[in-house]
Amino acid sequence: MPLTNETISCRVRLARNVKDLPFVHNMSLEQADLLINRVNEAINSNGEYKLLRMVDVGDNDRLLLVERHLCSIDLAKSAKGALLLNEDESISIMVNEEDHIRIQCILPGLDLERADELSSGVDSIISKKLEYAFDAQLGFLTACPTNVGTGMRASAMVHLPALSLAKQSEQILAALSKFGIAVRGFYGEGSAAPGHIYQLSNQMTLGLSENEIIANLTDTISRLCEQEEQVRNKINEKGPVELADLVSRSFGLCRYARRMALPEFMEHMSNLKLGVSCGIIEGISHEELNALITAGQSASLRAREGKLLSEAQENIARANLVREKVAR
Amino acid sequence: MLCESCKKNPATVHSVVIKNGQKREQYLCAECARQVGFKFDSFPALLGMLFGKENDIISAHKCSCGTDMVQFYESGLLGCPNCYNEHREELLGIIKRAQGGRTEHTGRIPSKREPKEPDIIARLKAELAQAVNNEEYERAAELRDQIKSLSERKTGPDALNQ
Ligand SMILES: [Zn+2]
Ligand SMILES: [Zn+2]
Repeated sequence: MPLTNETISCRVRLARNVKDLPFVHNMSLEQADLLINRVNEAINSNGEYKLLRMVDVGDNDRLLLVERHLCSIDLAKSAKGALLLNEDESISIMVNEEDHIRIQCILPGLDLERADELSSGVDSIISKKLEYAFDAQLGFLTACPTNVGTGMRASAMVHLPALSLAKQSEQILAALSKFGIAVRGFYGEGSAAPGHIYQLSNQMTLGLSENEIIANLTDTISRLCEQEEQVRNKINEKGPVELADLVSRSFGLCRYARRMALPEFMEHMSNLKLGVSCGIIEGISHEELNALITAGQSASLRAREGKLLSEAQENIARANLVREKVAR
Repeated sequence: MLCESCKKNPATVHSVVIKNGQKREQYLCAECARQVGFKFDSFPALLGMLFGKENDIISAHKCSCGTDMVQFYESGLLGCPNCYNEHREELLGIIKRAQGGRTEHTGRIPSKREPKEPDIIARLKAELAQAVNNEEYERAAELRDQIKSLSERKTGPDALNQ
């Protein structure tokens, strides 16, 4: 898995619409329901996918899907929406989000080529059964005209603690928009970047091939990760004690704290990952910490505890989880 | 629809004026629209800016799905795939600005759909008629067999019950 240390996960999402229906916001509930059946029949003949109609999914389970980035908040709230999810959850197909069909593939590390391969495989199966809205000039047609063309949104979650410590991340990330790359926080659009985790994605969808979009993003992220590594080494050289102190304080808190709020948790996870990258902490891997970041989010904790939690209870549950995973 | 101001010329312009949070809509002919000189005060102007809309006249033309460009500027969403044909020129401008000047798709195209069986039978029947017409009887016999086997396959389970 390439660049797993800095790149937590990557995703390719394809927006598709069928030719003979209005766009989702203009559809009746009956039409929406019919489309769910059509997509399900097209892709799910051997029962490979779990079909989740949003109206049938409980509140916390929907939040859980959102937290794991398998489903957007908009879809989770929609009475028209459904999600098709494969067994290992690498493929999720959102039906009746802003577009009729949004095919997503999420993989750990930075492997956008593979994510493209898997999502376009699903795309070609569906397109053999349903006629897509496609225009010879504009490509795949979408509800919002800024997504036309490939309909492709490729993205990656990148952890950049050293660049943040060196106060270089904002400047560098702002410059990325010149190269057609958009930057968001861990929780998506308009969110800050808790834990110094940034979501990078392509801005343009038209006039570039899918391969170009993916190569461009992969290249940019690879260079960003190199920069992160250089700055990390520099920080470690200049102030090894300061860095070890920062990481070890987080390590200590993770081992002994009895309550931990989400922002504090994200900060400690970031410091632990930094510590693993620098060899300050041993016995826990980036993969384990990435999984812990997911497990420590609100809906995941509620699912683990099997009940609704007040904020105070949630913070206790989070600290318990962290102690269990880190204090070995 | 006739212009709501002069009531003579056909309305070609959908005017939207927002004043003190109140939206006023009018359908006008181009001439009256120019005289009124309406402007977006605030709210569609915001979306207009987002999409790089500079002038303040929006076509009153509606797509068969009922969506016009005013609705588009309000929501940022089109009504149906056909909207791209009905509002093509205006959308091309928006798309060009959003996509860094590009307006031509260079990526993948949809896979060919599997033809449904009735389509195949219809095509074979047309070929058969053609073959008979051209007195190609061997070819016609072949086609007749193919049609027969396809039609039988379709009604296969029923045939077993009889
Ligand atoms: Zn008039
Ligand atoms: Zn339309």
